[in-house]
Order: sequence, then structure tokens, then C-alpha cells
Amino acid sequence: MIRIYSHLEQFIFALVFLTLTGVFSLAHAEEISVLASVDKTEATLEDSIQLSIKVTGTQNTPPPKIPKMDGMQIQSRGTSTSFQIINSQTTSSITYSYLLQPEKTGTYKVGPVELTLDDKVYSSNSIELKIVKPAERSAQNPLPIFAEAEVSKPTAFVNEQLVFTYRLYRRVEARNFQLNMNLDDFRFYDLGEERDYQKVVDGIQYQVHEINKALFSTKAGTFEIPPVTLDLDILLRSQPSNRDPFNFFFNSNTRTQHKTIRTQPVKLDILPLPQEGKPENFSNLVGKFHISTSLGKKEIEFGDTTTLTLSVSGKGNVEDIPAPDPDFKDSFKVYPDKPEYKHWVDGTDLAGLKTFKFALIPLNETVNEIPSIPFSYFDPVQKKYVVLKTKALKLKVLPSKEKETLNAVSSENVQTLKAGDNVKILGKDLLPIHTALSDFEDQTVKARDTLLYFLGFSLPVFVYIAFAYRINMRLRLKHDVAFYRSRNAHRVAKHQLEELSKQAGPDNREFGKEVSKILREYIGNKLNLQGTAFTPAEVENKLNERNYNQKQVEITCHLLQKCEALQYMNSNDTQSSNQNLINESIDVLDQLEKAS
Amino acid sequence: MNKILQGLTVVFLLASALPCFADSVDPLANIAVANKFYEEKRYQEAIDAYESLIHQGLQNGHLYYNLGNAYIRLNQLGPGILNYVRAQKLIPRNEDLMANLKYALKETEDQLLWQAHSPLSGVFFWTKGVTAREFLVLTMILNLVFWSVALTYLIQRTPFWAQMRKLSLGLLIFSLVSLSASYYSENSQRYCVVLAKTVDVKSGMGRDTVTLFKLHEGTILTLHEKNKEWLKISLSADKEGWVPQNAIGI
Repeated sequence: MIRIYSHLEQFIFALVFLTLTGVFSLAHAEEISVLASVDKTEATLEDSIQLSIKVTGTQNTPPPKIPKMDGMQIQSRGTSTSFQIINSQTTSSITYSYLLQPEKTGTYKVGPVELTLDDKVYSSNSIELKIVKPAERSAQNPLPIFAEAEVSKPTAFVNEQLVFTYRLYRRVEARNFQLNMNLDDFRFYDLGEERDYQKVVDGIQYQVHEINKALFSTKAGTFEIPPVTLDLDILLRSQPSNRDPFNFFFNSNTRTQHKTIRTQPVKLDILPLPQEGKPENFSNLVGKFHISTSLGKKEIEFGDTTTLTLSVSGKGNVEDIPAPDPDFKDSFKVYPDKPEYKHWVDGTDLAGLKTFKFALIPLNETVNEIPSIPFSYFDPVQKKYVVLKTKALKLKVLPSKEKETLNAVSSENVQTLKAGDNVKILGKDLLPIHTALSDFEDQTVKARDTLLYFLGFSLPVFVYIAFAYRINMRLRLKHDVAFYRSRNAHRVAKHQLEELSKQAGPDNREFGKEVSKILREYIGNKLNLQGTAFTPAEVENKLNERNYNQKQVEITCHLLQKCEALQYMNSNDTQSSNQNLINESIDVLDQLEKAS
Repeated sequence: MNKILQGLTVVFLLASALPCFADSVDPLANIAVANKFYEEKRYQEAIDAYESLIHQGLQNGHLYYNLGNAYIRLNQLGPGILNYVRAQKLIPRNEDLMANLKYALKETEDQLLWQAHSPLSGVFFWTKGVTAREFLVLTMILNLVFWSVALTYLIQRTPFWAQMRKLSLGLLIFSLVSLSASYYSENSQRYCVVLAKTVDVKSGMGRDTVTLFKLHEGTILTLHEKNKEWLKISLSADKEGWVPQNAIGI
């Protein structure tokens, strides 16, 4: 069964392969043609036209060249391919889709579109398009969607706040909104959130989307805010077919229509600020503002500081509120702090508050007030400049509690500082070159540096590990008896065996007894057992419990049995057999030590 | 253990021997000559001598500073400021350098003051003005201190040494974090300088793209992207574009 399946799979693969190669070779042999088509030949400025360039006979082509058309934007919308086999005849094609968005009315000629393939140029047919103005909205012709843009007033002063409002009215479903608002000639700020509400226009209810911007023109002249364009897709629903059950799930009765909604351009006259009555320190502030001051400490010792807080609030170009420069001449040394600024929307106006703080140090004890600070702005409603002045604030400067001498030094310092401020800078120059040769060490990171850094980081770690190991070992040997016995067992046993081998001609019985004792002592130390009176069987059990190799256990037991047997037999060649036993014992000890 | 110690000794001896090969040519004599040219107002000769040393591989902040001075003396603001920027990476706290850079920038047509900054400089404010190499040395010292204290604690397990161990570990971690931040700052933020008299900043890579704004010789820019012939640069958050590579020094 599996074999049949495998053959079938190979057959299908071959069939598909042959079909495709045959098809491609046939396709390549097809005649190539280029056909241009549009979904409509007459449209309004709000409409978009779908242009399709169908290349038949091949699917592998570079994009066709579409001649430029003044007043018509061309956007690529991708490609689609098609392949058909009808009655052994194959047809392949590729369609390039474009979206044409008219910007001016008139008649346009699309094409002929050219396509270059294998050094051969193919041309399409040409199409004539007629672009007309969109229908005007009126009570008789209520449009499904339209937009309007307006400014709060057509004439304003430089830096005066205007409100630019954009409203989109619609009574159709739409999506994919793309708003293009060009306000580059102005400074603009969002004026609150965008709003959605319902409104009845000419007896028809529309859904309205409103955007408000605060506009400021920084220069005088006549301006035109270009039309605000909104690209969107309108959803069009046709009557659903009750026969088709798929409609219920896939909503196939909905299609979209691309539209570009434009507003009318808005004209603006921006007047320059009048020269007449312009205050000396005027800083282009336009709107309506208030100023207030407060003083931190009203009684201070000489040499101490107090804080002057100056708040400017109002409506207009609040961001431009300048930092006041209080001219306290010889009465105070002034240290300004970083100003705090916050802004908000008050109805249709941009409002804000800027707070300036100054640390003031009186320069002498006779100071008794903080003089008023002037502040000016231009009021566009009254069309005149307004100069405000803060109230003069009373301040009591007490003599310093420090000694007179200290006061004198402090005073001198202030004088010195003032003198320094008056030094006139006559010129500036480069500081000289560096000549200390010790500064010119090469700062390149070399292999040597890398190696030293590596050692610098790794060496302390290695040293620590080595010392820690030794210290831990010493501590364990001191406190852990079993570890101490186990660690020294091999050395002690080997030493004892070597000593035994040096003793000349002991009799067999004593020798066997001694070797057996040494071995049992070793095992006792290694396994931390009490006493040395174990039989070979007991040794076998203990070693097995500690998971020693079975062969090693057998050899050890055999050696112990041999030692026991030696105690009860006589041998002629005592010397050589004893040395053999010693060697055998050392081997066994080494093996057990390795395995432990 | 003995083998490890032997190995480390060999590596250490090798490291100590390396300077014998690396520093076979003493550049100090050439620096003295170049400085003499400068003092004698033979600025072009001084520039050639400094450039030659840099070409030989010598990297030193004071050398770049002197070279920058020599260029400024010849009124070549672009190369002068470029060498000050290079020097700033190696000697960031040098007051002479900052003063001369400020002086040179005021001489430029754009007069845009500049200060090296990085996205991390707000959080890791203490790393400002300290090079990654300096942090590396500090971290190495703190590493040695930490392991020495840890070793002492092994021998004398007293509360004092326990506290010292925690403290030295804290300092080591702090230094490691600072090192990482400093290294990131040095490598993430790259600067370049306008060398041409005027350069058009384009909206894309190509001379036929829109000219966004113009810059003049000596203006310092932040470099974002390097293409074959074009560089993506920015002047501030809202002013960025593409400039031809041959008009810019990196």
C-alpha cells in the first residue's frame, strides 16, 4: 500500500512538473500586448480613477512607464497576475493598478503607456479623461459628504491668535481617513480634542467631525491657507441577495469608493503691529495678559536672600512670554531661576501661565522696597499697546548678625564682582597648544592593554578560588574526623607497608597478620569505621555499600583471605612471597584510592 | 593549582614583554618637533607632523587638540573642529579643549554650540566627562578590592569584614554599570563635522531631492547612518537629513 502511494506521489509530481514547464514554454511563446483601461472616463475633483495596465503574454515585466500629467497625481496600487488554460490554449497576464487623483479640472490624456521588454518597446492604447468640478452643495442637492474650513476672522495682527476650524460633514459610512492640512506658514497648536457631533444642514442630519487649531502668523502680509484634503474610502452597500447564504457571513455586498474631499482655500490678511505707541521693551506679545508679583521673605538680614516671584498669565501667544529683566541697578544682585510654564485651552483661546523666580540679595542695608517691574503687550481688541507695572513691594533689610569685619569683607566681594563685570573684553584667542610630553602617551587600546585588563579582572578571582580551596580544606581537616581519616588513610597505609617490607625475614604468620591489619585499618579509615576487626565478608559488604567496583571488591577480599591464609601456612621462599604480597597490597590500595 | 599559577605567570611575563615590541618607535621626539613648528607659527608643517603621527597609529587627545589648534590658526575651521571633537572623546574634561572648541564654534557661520550627549546621559549623569577606559581601570581596581576583602572575610569572619564585603561588591556593581553606560554612550553617539564651505542637507540620498536646510563649515552634527556616498545626520530632534559624505569629516 505504501509502495503504491509512493509511486502515485512520484507520478503526480512528474505530471505537475511537466505541466508547469510545458505551460511556461508555451506562455513564453505568447504574443505580448499592453492594454490600458480605467473604471470611469468622467469624474469630479473628489473622485479617484482606477487605472489598470494589463500586460498579456508574460508575467515577468518591469513596471510600465506612465507619462506624467500636470494636475493629476498617480499612485501605484500593486500588481495582480492571471494564468488561464482554455482548450489547451494558455494565457498569462500581469495587471499593474494605479490610482489617479485629479487636482485640476480639464481633459487629460492617459497614455500611450510604454513597456520595454527585451529591448523591445510595447505601447498601449490611450484614454481620454474628463475632470469636472464636484457638484455644489445646496438644499436641492444635499451631498453625502463634504468639508469646510474657516478662520475665526479674515484680518488679524501679527502674533494674534486665530482659530482655524475644519469640519467634515458626512451621512455615509467611511473609513481609512487620511487628512492633509498644510499650515506651514503659521505657528499652530491643537485647540482641545477633536469633536464629533450631529448637525442638521438644509434639513438633513450629518455626522460632523471638527478639528480646531490655534494659528499665529509671525509675519505680516496676505496669506492663503491651501485647501485641506481628506482621502477616505466610502462604504457602498448594495441590496443583499437573500439567495446567497455566504452574504450573511462575508458581507460581500459592501464595496468601497475612494474619494478626496477638499475644502476651499482660506484667505487671510495679517496686519503689522502699529509703530505708534510701541513701548521700548515690547517683545511681540499679543493678546491679553496680567502680571502679579509676590515676595518670599519680607524681612531679611543683610547678605541673606529673598525670592521674588513674578507670574504672567493670559491669552494669546503665551509661549512667547519673555523673561522680565528687572532693573534693580545698585539695590540688588539678581539670580534668575528657570521659569515654569503651563498652558491650557480656555474656550477657543490658548491660555497660559509663566512663572519667573528671582533670588535677590540686597547690596546695601538701605534698600527698603523692590521697585515695580514694567511689562507690555499689544491688545488686538483695543488695537493698542498696554503697559502694566507690578506693585512696588516693601522689604526690610536688617543689619547682619555677623561681625562688622565680616560684613566689610562681604561688601568688598560684591564690589570686586561689580568691578569685574565692567572689564571690557578687547579680543579673544585660542588657548595655547599642550607641550608637556608626558601627556602624549598613546591612548590606543593595544593587545597588551587587553591582556592586562583580562589579568586584572581574572587574576584576583583565581587567587581567591585557590586560597578559598586551601582554607576550606584546612578547616575540614580540622573539624571533620571522617574526612581527616579518609584523606590520610592511603598515605598512612602505604607508609606502613613500606616500613614492613624493610623488616628482614619476619615469619609468615606475623607478616600476613600485619599486612591484613594494615589493609583493614586502611578500609576502616577510608570508610570511617570503628576498630579493625572486620572479616573479608564484612569488608565486601561495606565496600559494596559504598558502591566500589565489584572487581576491586573481589580483589580486596581475595587479598585479605590470602593474608589470613598466610597466617596458617609455612613457605620456603619467605622473602620473595612477602615482597609480592606487599606489592599486591600497594596495588589494591592504589586502586581503592582511585575509586574513592 | 601549581600548573594554573605557572600558566598565569607565563601570561603575565608575556604581557610585560609586549611593550618592547609595541613601543619600538618613540613618537615623543616627533611631537616635540611638531610643537616647535607650531610655536614658530609654521602651522602647515606642524599639521603635517601631527597628521603623520596620527597616521602612524598614535591616538592621543592632546595630539588632536594641538592639531585642531594648528588648523584653526590657518582658518580651516572644519578640520580644526573635527580634531577638537576627536580630542573630546579622549580628554573629555580638558578645559583648554572646551574653551578652544567654543571659540572655534563661535567663528563658524552657523554658530551652533555643541555638547556631547547620549540617550543615557540623563540617567547616568555621573558618567558625563568620564571615558569608558577610565571606568574600566576603576572597575579593575574595585574588582581587586572586592576579591581581597572577600578573601580577608574567609580568614576573619567578623561583622566588619562582612559589611566591607557587601560595600565593595556594591561599589563594583556600580562601577560595572557605569562602565557599560559609558561604553554604550561612546559607541552609540557618533559625531561628524561639516568640512565643505557650505553643504545642502537633503531629504533623501540624491542631489535631486529636496534641500531641507543649509549648513556651513565647522558645524558639528550627529551621525546616524552611513551609506556608500551619503550620511544621515541630524542637528536637533526635528532637523535631520542626508549629506554627501565628501563634504563631511568623521
